[in-house]
Amino acid sequence: MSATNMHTRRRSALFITLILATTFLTTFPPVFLWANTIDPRWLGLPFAMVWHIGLALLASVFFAAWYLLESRSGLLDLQVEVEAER
Amino acid sequence: MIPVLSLLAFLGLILFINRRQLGVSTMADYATANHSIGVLGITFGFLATWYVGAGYTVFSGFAVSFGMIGMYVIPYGIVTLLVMYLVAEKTFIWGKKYQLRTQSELLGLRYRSDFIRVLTGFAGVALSVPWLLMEWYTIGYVFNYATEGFISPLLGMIIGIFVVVFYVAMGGMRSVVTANIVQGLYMMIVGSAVLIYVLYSELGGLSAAMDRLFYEAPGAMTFPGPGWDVSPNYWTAIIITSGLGGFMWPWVYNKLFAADSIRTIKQSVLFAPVLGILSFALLFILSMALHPLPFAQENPEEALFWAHAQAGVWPLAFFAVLVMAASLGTVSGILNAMSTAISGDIAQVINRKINEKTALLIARWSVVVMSIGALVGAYLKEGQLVFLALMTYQGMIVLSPVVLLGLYWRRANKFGAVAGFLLGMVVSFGLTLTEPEFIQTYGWTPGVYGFLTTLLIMLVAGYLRPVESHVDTLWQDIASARSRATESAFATQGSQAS
Repeated sequence: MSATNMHTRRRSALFITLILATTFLTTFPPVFLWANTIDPRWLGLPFAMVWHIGLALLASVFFAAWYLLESRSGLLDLQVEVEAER
Repeated sequence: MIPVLSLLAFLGLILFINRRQLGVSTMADYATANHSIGVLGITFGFLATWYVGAGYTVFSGFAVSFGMIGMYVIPYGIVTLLVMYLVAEKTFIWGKKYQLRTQSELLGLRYRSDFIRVLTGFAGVALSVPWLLMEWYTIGYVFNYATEGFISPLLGMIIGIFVVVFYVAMGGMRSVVTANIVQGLYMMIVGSAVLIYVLYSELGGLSAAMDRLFYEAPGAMTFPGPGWDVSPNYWTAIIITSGLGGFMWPWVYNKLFAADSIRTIKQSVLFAPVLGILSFALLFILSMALHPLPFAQENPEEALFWAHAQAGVWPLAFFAVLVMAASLGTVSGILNAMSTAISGDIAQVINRKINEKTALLIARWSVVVMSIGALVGAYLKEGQLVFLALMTYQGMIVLSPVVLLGLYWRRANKFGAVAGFLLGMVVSFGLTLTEPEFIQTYGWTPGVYGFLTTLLIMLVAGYLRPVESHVDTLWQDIASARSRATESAFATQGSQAS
């Protein structure tokens, strides 16, 4: 496996882990139950809701960073040769 | 009068903007728009298809009754988008290279099995039927409510069907996506604006609405909500089930084959969560805020319509169009995917002599026949639609190991995929129908057990048999495309440096 491929795999693994970590924090029962409270409130919203919205926005930031790094490496401009027309 | 005119104007607008897309003449164009859709189309195509009209009736009713639990849609959306990001590259490369049109055709190629293609094609069609019925019913309900009963649900459904069948059958994916852009933009901009307006005009704003909830029904501000005792595992289970199953719907997945590049798909993943989080959060905040009101408590599924009617005729008109836009987006995507599956994944596999022209004709007539069948079903079985639609998620999650392991694990093979999929379905639907006590006790939904069954069988089968010979060729396609891309990127950087 080439060094570029290894680098790409490691980068993907890192971002998958980070995004899944945000999901883990919203779903794993002990953590989720810890956050499942009304106080402290923000703009009137319960903390439970702020927790889920905040982590989803954090996941969006990870998606953006992942995309930017992939874009820089050229992996989003793949040229595909068509095997055979139907 | 204003709401019904708004609905008719919106339907007219959808037909008008599609007037140049109606001359589709090949099956490839009908199914995938010849891989030509850009980021706007894929983003809104994804959002408009994913957002169902019932989200503003049934699912918002869930939040009206139980409060915060409705927010499960937000973490589940992130899991679904991660799945979309992960499957994008291989789906696009194999899709373009081998001219694939559907998720089932992709699985048929990956596992080199016509049986898997037909099986998953049939399952996709069968599991989509309840959603089609429910969305038809929602369209009829919108017309009925907006006209204060003047237009019956049946007539409302017929008006909706006439418009959707026309542009889907004539324009295929190109028409579906064009309409999705309008529907999605309306849902995000006008829809969000009208929800905010009602939150402020009827409930005094965000802080005031939440304060009222805090003093009158604090239980609605946390999981599981008032009057409901359920294990916290249930929260985890519905997010996993919906998150993994959410992108497995053929009507959502097939949009990937329409994209013009991987960049387009991945850019869509950047925009979709932000747009989705904002609009879903708004919808569920308003629904939760309605919880203390007696009318909303007694009629949770009607609560959002009622609140908009209280705000005036224009908010009701804008809201009715919002629900209509969400329903049309989903219905058109389902009809396009189902007709493509019936024509390409079932008819053309069973009879190889069917040519492309006949396949297109079969797809078009499938749209008409399915729509009329769904109209009858929606009218007769209205009371059971929600139950059936929610049950289908327990089946969709079973497909996720077949897709994800197929794309990421060379050892995944057709024996594991077929046995795993069939047994996973049996476990999932068996537990759903028999409802044994441990489902309630532990909180894990039947789909989770079905998913684990499929996963386990596929892993065991993968280690029991050698890697199938054709898999190397498929993996080589990916490696070649990547190496060409990185070489090209290095060359560009080199020329810029010099």
